[in-house]
Parts: sequence; structure tokens; C-alpha cells
Amino acid sequence: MEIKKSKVNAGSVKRFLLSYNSIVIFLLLLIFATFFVGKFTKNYDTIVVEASLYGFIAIGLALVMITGNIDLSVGFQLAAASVITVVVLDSTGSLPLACAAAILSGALMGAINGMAVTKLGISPLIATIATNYIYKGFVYFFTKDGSFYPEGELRNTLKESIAGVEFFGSEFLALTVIIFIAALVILFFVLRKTKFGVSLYISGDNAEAGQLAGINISRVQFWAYVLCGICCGIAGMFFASKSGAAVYTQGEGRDVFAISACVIGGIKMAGGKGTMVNVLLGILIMRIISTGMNLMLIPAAWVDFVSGAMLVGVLIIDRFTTLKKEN
Amino acid sequence: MSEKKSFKSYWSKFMSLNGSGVFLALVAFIILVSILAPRITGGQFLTWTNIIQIFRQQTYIGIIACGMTLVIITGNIDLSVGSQLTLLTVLCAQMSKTMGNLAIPATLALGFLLGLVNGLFVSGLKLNSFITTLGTSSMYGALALILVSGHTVRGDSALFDWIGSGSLFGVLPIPVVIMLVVVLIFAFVSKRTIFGQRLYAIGANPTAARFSGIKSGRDICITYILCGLCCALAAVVLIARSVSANPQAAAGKEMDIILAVVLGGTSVLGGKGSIWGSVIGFLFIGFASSGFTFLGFDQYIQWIVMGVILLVALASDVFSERGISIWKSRKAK
Repeated sequence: MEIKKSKVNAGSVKRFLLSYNSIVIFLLLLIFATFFVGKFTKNYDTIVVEASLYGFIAIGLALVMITGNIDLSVGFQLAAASVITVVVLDSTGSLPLACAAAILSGALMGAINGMAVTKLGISPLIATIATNYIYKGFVYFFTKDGSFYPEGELRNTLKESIAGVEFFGSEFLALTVIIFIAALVILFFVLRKTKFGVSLYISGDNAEAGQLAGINISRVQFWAYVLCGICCGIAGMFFASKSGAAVYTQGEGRDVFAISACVIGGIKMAGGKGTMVNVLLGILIMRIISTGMNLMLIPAAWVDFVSGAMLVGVLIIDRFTTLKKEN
Repeated sequence: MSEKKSFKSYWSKFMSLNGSGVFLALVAFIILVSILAPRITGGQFLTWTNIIQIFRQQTYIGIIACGMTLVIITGNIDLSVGSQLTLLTVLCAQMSKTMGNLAIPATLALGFLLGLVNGLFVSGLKLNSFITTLGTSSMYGALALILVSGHTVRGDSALFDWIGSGSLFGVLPIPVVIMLVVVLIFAFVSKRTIFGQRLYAIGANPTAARFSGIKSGRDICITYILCGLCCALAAVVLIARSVSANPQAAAGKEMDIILAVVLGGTSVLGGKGSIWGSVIGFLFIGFASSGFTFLGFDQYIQWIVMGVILLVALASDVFSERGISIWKSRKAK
């Protein structure tokens, strides 16, 4: 209603709201939660920290989705990297080595996905369902439904070293948050300013035209998968450190979270669209919903229900706004 | 000479059918397990009781795979089947306490409704089927948990006992009979009716289908409804087998179902596939999971091997097509 009153620039305001609907949803949720959910203001830091933990898989997936592909195996890539972290730490006792192994294993898993999609030519949906089984089996081998943690002192080292580091005693400046923001900024510029970033968009927008223009589309898609794997590897390292163990359930349902965050952040299944800023908003929206509902003591199942409804809702909004543009 | 030639032509015709490669792999797998199982765990794999057991446990996958095949043929996908199955089993068990046998038609009606919701979103609003059904999947799954607050519900109906333990002519268990009927109906619908042919047309080229006057929205909606009905039937079968409904039992089953359909040669891009292929895919998954248990494999090896098999099967599919095109281009030269 307010939009209609301001005659001066109604059209442009409306256009702004429609094209940046994730900002609107984010602000509305934030204001609602701040005023109506008790203790929410004390939990800003939790949301930021958790966004940095969960966020990595969403930004990794965003890269893959921009190229027009999909990765359903992000959840168990994360869990597998988490297992690798614990295994390497347990056998060598060296934390840097464990971190390097986690990131490398992520890159390897991403490369397997990328090979399956670009070299074997399997549809990305099915290929990543298949690799998801493989990673899941790998995780289950170590964790068996429960968790798998390093022996003795090493567990505390793991807990205190990555997720436990805070600068200036503020949760907002936790190491995970800083790494996450750094990754976001780097990817933001990669997508905007580099040839590789632009070719990611072209791959999703019109792969054939890109191929004719001399871009090696399958190589671009392959590297998108590898980057996604690296992101999952970092996330796995974070999760291993956060809980001091590799847990089987770290992998379950994460793909749904990541896809929701991406879609709410304006990434399209067809590819070629979306920015890192909007994906960040998508991640924050998802975290605000689940933290807010937890604080309101609403059962966890309702969180799933709301995020599912949100996913469909965003699609519907999107449908009507793009239809208008076309008309 | 002529005998040899006819064998060759039969062979090439067989290999061009959907899922023929997987069928051969299935036969090889069964032979391998029957030879190895007695030596490793001392169990006999290929016995009548075991085969019936496999069918009893896995029929619900086969039933839903039929509905899923039609959805995938039109180029869409339904990721919510696992949650639909969960929600419908919970509802069916809950209703059977008060309604008795009437719970079964009521479940079918609800399955119709869940399918209709998906169908309207995908065909009416033209939303992306993958993300939409992912969204409805978490909604249906959450509803199942909320309805029974996470507990297991016991079903209570004389019909359940009959479906669960009865058998036709004393040989074929009722769930298998139900699956066979569903398979026959769906195979007939997809191959021998105009509706079925329209589905292939929509999947192969949506634009061309639209220009030739096919109301693709309505047909896609119907495939989702059929998929919902299949889930309802599967829910009844599942309850009849296990008597109780666990709100988390069928979580993630959509992956197995999609796997069965895709192994059977149905392309997720649409326009290609068959119900019989899906039946072979279903048999492969059923026999494989039972066979691994007979070989004494752990859960994790099953998952890894299934993933590798899937990759190999699909890659070989792609390569055989590519191989044919290379061969044709060489011949043309």
C-alpha cells in the first residue's frame, strides 16, 4: 500500500522490491524476529557464526548452479571432508596437515563430480545422487550412525583451534566468520571481474553460444564443481572443529539447506543468474528462520515445514515478477 | 548361417531396449551371488522364500517407480515421493484406528490430493519441478512428524493383515499382485494410449508439443496425481507389511526410486523411457540390496557399490550412444 501512495517513483520502488526480494524478506524477518522473539537480539552472534559454518556449502553450490548444473552431494562431501580432517589429525597429530587434507579431499570429490558430469556426460542430478551414495558410504564406514572423534588431547586441540578462535573476544570476529567473509569477497570479485567468473554465467545462460565464442564450457563446469568441493571441504573442516568430531548427521539434509539458500538468494535452476550478495542473504534468511523458531520453542519439524513453504513461495514470487518483466 | 544372423538381430534388438544392460548386469549379479553366498555366509540366495521376501520388502519402491516414470518421461521430476509416502503411511495408520478398512480409500484420496498440489504448482504456476518438489518434500515430511509428534503409530485393520500376510493362489503375496497390476496398467497407459504418447511428446520437445495442440499442463498435472496415487498404494502396502508407521521410515527413499527409474533407461531429460525398464531397475535394486546382505556386506559397502554401479551404468549408456554416432559417421564417410 505504501508503494502506491508515493506517486513520484512508484514504479522504480516496485521494481526495486521485486528484483531484490531477498533483501526485503531478510529485513522483514530480521525486524520481526528482533521485536517479537525474546532473546533474539542476544543471538545475533550465533546466527553470524552458524551462517559462516553452513554458508560455505551454499556458496559452493551457488557456483555450480550458476553454470546450470546441480550438486546433490554437498551434504556428504561436507561430512566426508569432516571425516578426513579427523582421520588425518588422529594419525599425524598435525592440525595444518589435517586442514590441508580436508580441503584437498573436497577438491578431489568435486573433481569426481565434475568428471562424472562433464567427461562421462551423465545428467548432473543423477551423477551427484550416485556420488552422494559413494561419499555417504565412506562417511558411514567411519562414523556408523554416530560420531567419530580423535583420541585424547587431540579432540580439544581440534575444538579450540578453528571454530574456537575468536579475535578481540567477540563472537562476530570468530575465525570461521572471517574466513567465510574473505571467501565471499574473493568469489564476489571472481564472478564480477574475471574471465572465469563471466564464463560461469555464460555456461548457465547459453552454453552453446559460449562454446562457439571459444569458451571451453565443460572445463568451466568442471572447475565450478572443484570449487564447490573445496568449499564443502572447508565447511567439513569447520564442522569437525565445531563439534570436535565427524558426525554422520552432519551430511544429512544439508543439500536441502544449500539449495534453499541459493534459490532464496535468486539463483535459478537453469543457471546464468545470481550474485554472491544475494546468496549471503539467502543463507542469513535460512539461519534467522531456524534460530528464531528454535528460540520460540517451536518443534524442529515446523522449521522444515516453513523452509519448504518458503522455497515454494519464493518460486511463486519469482514466477510472477519475471512474467511481468516479459510482458 | 541364417540362424546365426537371426540371433544377431534378436540380440541387437534386445540391446536397444530400455534397461537391457542393467538386465544383463542383474542376471550376472544373481549368478555371482548364488555362487559366492554359500561360501561366504552359508546362505542360499536363489530360493523361492528369499525371492518372495525381496518382493515383499521392496514392492513399494516398484509401485512408486511406475508413477515416477511417467513424471520423468514428461521431463519433470518428483523429489517429494519419499515424504509423500511417509505422510500417507502415518495418515493411513492414524485413520485406520477410527475408520477401519475405509482408511484405504481415504489414503488414496489424500494421495490424489498431495499429487494434485505438486501438479498444480508445476503445471499451473509453471514452477521448476525440481525445486518445487524439494520444497513440498520438506513440507510433507515435516507434516508427518508434526502429526504424530515423532512417534510410531500402529495401524489397525483386518485388511492390513490380509494384504500383509495373504497370498493369491497360496503363491503370490498380495503386495506383489498389487504391484503387478499397477505395472500392467501403467505399461498399458504409457505405450498404448494417446495420453501416454502425449507424455513422450511433451518430454521430448515441450515447444513442439505445445504447437501441435497438446495441453501439456493438464497432462503433467495428471502424472503428478498418478504419482501421488502410487504413493498412497505403496503406503498401504508398507503399513500392511510392518503394521506400524514410523514418521522417518521412508525418508530419503525418493533417491532409491529415482535410481530404479533411471537405471531402467528412463532419461531425466524426458521423452525417453519405459515402465518395463523401471521394473528391471527396481528388480536390480531389490536383488542388489538383498544380495549384498547375503554376501555379508555392510551398509557402507552397499552404498559405495551402488553409487559406482550407477555411474558405470549411466556412463556406459552415454558412451554406447556416442559410440553409435561415431560408428554412423564413419560409415557415412
